[in-house]
Amino acid sequence: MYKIGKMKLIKFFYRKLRASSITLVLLLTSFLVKPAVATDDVPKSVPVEKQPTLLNADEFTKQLSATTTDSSLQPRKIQEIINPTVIAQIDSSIPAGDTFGDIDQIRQELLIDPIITTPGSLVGEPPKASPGSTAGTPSGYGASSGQAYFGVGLFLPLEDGKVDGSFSTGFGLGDAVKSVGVEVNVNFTSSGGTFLLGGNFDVGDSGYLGFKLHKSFTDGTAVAVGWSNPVKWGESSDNKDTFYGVVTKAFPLQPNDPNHKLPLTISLGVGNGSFRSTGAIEANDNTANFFGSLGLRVIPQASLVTGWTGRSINLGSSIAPFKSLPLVINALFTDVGGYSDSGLGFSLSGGYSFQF
Amino acid sequence: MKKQLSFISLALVMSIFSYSMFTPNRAYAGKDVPPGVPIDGPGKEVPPGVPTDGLGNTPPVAPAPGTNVQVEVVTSAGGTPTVVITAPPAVQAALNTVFATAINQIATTSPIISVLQGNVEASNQLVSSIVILGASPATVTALVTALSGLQTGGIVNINNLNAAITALTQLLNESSPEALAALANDPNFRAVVNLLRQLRVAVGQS
Repeated sequence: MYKIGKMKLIKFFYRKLRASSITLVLLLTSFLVKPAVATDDVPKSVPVEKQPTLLNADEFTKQLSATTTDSSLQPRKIQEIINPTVIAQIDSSIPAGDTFGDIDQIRQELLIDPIITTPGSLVGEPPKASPGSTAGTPSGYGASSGQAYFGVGLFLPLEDGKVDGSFSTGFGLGDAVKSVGVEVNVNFTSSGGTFLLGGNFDVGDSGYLGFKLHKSFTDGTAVAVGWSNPVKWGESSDNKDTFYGVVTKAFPLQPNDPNHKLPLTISLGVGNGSFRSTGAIEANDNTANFFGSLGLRVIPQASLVTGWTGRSINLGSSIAPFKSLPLVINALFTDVGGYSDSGLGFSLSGGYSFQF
Repeated sequence: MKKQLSFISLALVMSIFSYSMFTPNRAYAGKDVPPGVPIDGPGKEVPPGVPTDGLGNTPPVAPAPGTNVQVEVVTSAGGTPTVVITAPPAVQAALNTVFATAINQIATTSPIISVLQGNVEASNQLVSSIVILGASPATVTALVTALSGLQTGGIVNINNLNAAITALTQLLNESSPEALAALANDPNFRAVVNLLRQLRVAVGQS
């Protein structure tokens, strides 16, 4: 008797549970799964720089109707030409179904492989600089032969700590696309000291020289390996050696937009020295650690960037404000979340590049 | 002079302000670059997503995989870069042969024949017949202009072929679903695509 009652009770709850689950799934589906609607969001036509003098579409239509007897050239209404099935599929008032797949298939059938590859448009002057995609960590990109840069960095503590500054300069050798590029970089970590307060002027007293081998591939991937401080002097002589490897890859989030492909650039790397964890620094170990950055180029002139340095999170933006001036400004909040002992700070750095 | 003085005054005020606000009692000489500053130097990155060989220079132009052509970018006196493609003799011969064969597959009454012969009226009519399907007039004009100069005396101009394929790609990418469906059913447009496709295959001849 007790067993029968228990079984009935279990079956009762099972049926209730099953019914509730189905209801829950249906409710969630109705809330979360919205029907897709076909939209005509293809990019607007890109103006052609040089156009022959031609009649516009309306004038063509009038002229054709009046002059030509060739039936294949007579203007026809679109509705007469398009397959009725396709019209039904692209009606914006109904769910799209496989419309986009069908349209993509048509497009693919008609497309022809290009003869040349050009990542950017040659129409118009390209910008002299582009915003960065990293937040205080290296990327797989670097300078090649005929390229050099100069940079300035300033750190303002928002919690504990002191103002800090640095200068850097570098140049490239080789060719990262055809073979391998080599970037030679010098960082002057002492940047003036207390000169303005009557103390020492110590620019260049401390610093280090490093290099980076980098390679860019045509699919937008770049890889680099670096040794940041094979030569060091002054107070930087105490620094642990920093070896690192990093891979950078850009993913266009709007690949069909000819004006802005909205690239999301991811850099992932492994390194020791500067990239050590807080624990490794405290233990005085020079062990390897992971670092990385994410950069979303929200507009062609500016990126939102975030990065993990191995012991802290940086967050901010990078801006290339002038199209004709190769200047890039990076503004970052450092150690957001307080994962390291440096505390929250604000870092402002700028770089100016040269071509020769 | 007055403007210059104003600028100097502004610079002086900004300098004093910066000095009073940001100069600490003691600044780090520093063992390392400040937090947030990349160890390989600030602000010198190449454009994200563009596999360039450096710092914001013109993206490299190269022959597409599987093609046998030479490509160079020539900058005119006005500073406008232009891509110049050169086909080796074997590819040029293949292009000419394929063109001669392909042209025979097009009906003699087709307006494409007249366009390829450089007939302006036929070109205008072909533009019109494609534009009416919903395609962009500017892009269709670029396509037909490239077609009208595609060959001279049976010798195919590979730069015009490239321009035609580029315009076709742009046309297909920017056209609405309705226009795409209409273009796919248009015999003249199909004939153009078929001709360009056959010529493109010839560019891969070694």
